[in-house]
Amino acid sequence: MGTQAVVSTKNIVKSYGKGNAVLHGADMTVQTGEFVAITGPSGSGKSTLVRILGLLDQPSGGTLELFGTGLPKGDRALSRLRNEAIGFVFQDYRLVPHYSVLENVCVPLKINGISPRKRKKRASELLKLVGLGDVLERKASDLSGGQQQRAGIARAIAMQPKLLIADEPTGNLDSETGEKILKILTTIHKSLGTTLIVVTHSETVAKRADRIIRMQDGRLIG
Amino acid sequence: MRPLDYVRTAFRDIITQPVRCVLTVAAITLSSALLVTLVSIGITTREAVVGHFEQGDTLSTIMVSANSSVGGGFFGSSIQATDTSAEKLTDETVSRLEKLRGVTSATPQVSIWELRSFAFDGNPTSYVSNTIATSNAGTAKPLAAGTWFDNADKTPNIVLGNGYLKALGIKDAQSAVGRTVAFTSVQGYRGTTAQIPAWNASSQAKATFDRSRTTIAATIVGVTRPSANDNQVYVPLEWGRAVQSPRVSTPTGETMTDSIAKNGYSNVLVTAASQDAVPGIAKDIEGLGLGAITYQKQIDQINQLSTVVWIILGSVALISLISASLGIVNTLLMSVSEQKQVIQIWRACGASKRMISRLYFIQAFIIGVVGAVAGGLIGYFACRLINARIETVLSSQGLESLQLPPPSLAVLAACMALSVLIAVTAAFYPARVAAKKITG
Ligand SMILES: Nc1ncnc2c1ncn2[C@@H]1O[C@H](COP(=O)(O)OP(=O)(O)OP(=O)(O)O)[C@@H](O)[C@H]1O
Ligand SMILES: [Mg+2]
Repeated sequence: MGTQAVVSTKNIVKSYGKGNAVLHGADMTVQTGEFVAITGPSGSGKSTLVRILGLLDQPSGGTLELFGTGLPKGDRALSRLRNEAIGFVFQDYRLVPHYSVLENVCVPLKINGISPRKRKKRASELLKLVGLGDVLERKASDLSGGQQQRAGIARAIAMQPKLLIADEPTGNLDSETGEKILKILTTIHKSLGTTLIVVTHSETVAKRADRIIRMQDGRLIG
Repeated sequence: MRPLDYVRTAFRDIITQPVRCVLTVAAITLSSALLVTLVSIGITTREAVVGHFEQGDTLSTIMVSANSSVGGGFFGSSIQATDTSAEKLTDETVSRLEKLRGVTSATPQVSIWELRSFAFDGNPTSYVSNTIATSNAGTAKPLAAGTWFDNADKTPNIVLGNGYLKALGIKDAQSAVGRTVAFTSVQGYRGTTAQIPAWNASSQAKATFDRSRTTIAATIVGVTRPSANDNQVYVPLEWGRAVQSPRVSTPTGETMTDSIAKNGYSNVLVTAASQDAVPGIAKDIEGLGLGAITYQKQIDQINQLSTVVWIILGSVALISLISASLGIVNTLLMSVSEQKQVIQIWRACGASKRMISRLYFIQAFIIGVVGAVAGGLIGYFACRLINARIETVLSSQGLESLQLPPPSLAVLAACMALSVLIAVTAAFYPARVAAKKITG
């Protein structure tokens, strides 16, 4: 792999139902280690695109290659790839509310079959890294937005993915907290060399990226 | 994912809704308890009843009656108006039966209703008499102690059914031999010294005499081995004939009517050389225009009837189990729709559809196992209680104990397995919904 493209799409089309095309043929390439920001007006298809890149959704047409090869066939192989190679950070955090913070971060490790002892160790290390070392056993729903998003990031990188996708990770947070979250993401990008794709409305966030992809009406416009 | 993690995660999911979970488990528990109880009571009662018949030598005997229509069966016999031309059972019939192939003995028997009750000496309780006058019964019925009376015995020597030993509190048959029994007689034999009313006495005087009772002492000379007809008392045929031939006054003096000679024997007990010969002999007997009741036939009918009852009870329990499993379907579907977000989070973290549906199967499995085990235990103890109750009722009615065993472990295990199987089957639809509809 090395300098290979992490993400490479050709003519990705997505429509919900008949004729409701949301993406009209997206072509994009993201190189290994790149930090790409995706911006565009609301409803332009940013989330739809990154959900497809993160294997959370399937395109209606076109081809998607990840890590230099075509996608494996079957749900189990796709799920495995999603588990091992891709981390996804959501705008609304998406923590399991009745799990503890630690348990939430353990979910991908558990799915991967990592032993309880190892996954607890790894999850608490990661939570310390994002500054949540003292709330490990707290119920996820009891945390503040910023704390929940940090837990969300810890969960996304638990399996040390090659690709980290964040869909408006700071969208629900005040600018100060947002800044901290962004810092965590860029630190991960720099120190681990993780390829990072961030969807954002904020120009200041976008400016930090190596490259900005702009979207309008389901099309990439440069 | 590790197997233990599946179980932990499923369990965690179940207990997020404790009330709903308890109710679902309770439904499975109740229905599997019902299943265990009904099935094992059905099985053990049948075994006990059939086993009871199979005791002793009863299976190689055939009861012959005069009218072939009563041979129809234990449950299915039709009652017909007495046909005057119907053959009565005479000594000639007995000798014809003796000559049939495979028959080792034919013993005439007469029920002596005139001996109303009897009491053991020194025992205040009296028993309703189920007395049978018989001859050469020795070849047909083996004894546990003592000897059979002589065929022509006119003295009141009796052979006691084994079932009375328990009533008397006697452990071994030998010690019953030699004891005396007092029969109460009405309207029959009154002894040679009875003052019978004159032929022209008032009807009131005759009625008073008819109601009066005579006590006749008899000596126990033998005790039968345990068998299906344990509550009978055998007396010599000739004595029985005397009992059934009351003296009456006529203008010309006293006469006696031998009602056995008049009406024939009640039935003839035929013993076959072997159990296998029984059906053939029964056919031959029916060929003579007589009725033949075999115990095998009765056992077959009991089996048939109890199978029907068993199937009905089993279906009731099964239906309740199925309706309880609909509760599982409901619980899981609700859980799936409530946990929609959680399922999506798990999917985003890399869980396959298969993992998600497995988690729901395991939830159903846990509910099923907990319900089935609890239900099995409750059913087991319910059976023991019910068996004890049956025994109490039987003994309070003076009936013999069936000695019902507790439910067998095999039955228990089979019922539990069935409950779990139905619970897991119930998980198919919700698991499918979780894997397909929610995760797309
Ligand atoms: N599941 C869905 N079914 C139908 N239409 C959908 C679905 N998801 C998204 N859309 C439509 O697709 C279009 C693009 O949505 P998308 O969420 O990708 O936009 P976005 O660029 O992320 O917007 P925002 O900045 O507000 O998050 C919208 O018009 C939206 O209504
Ligand atoms: Mg969006």
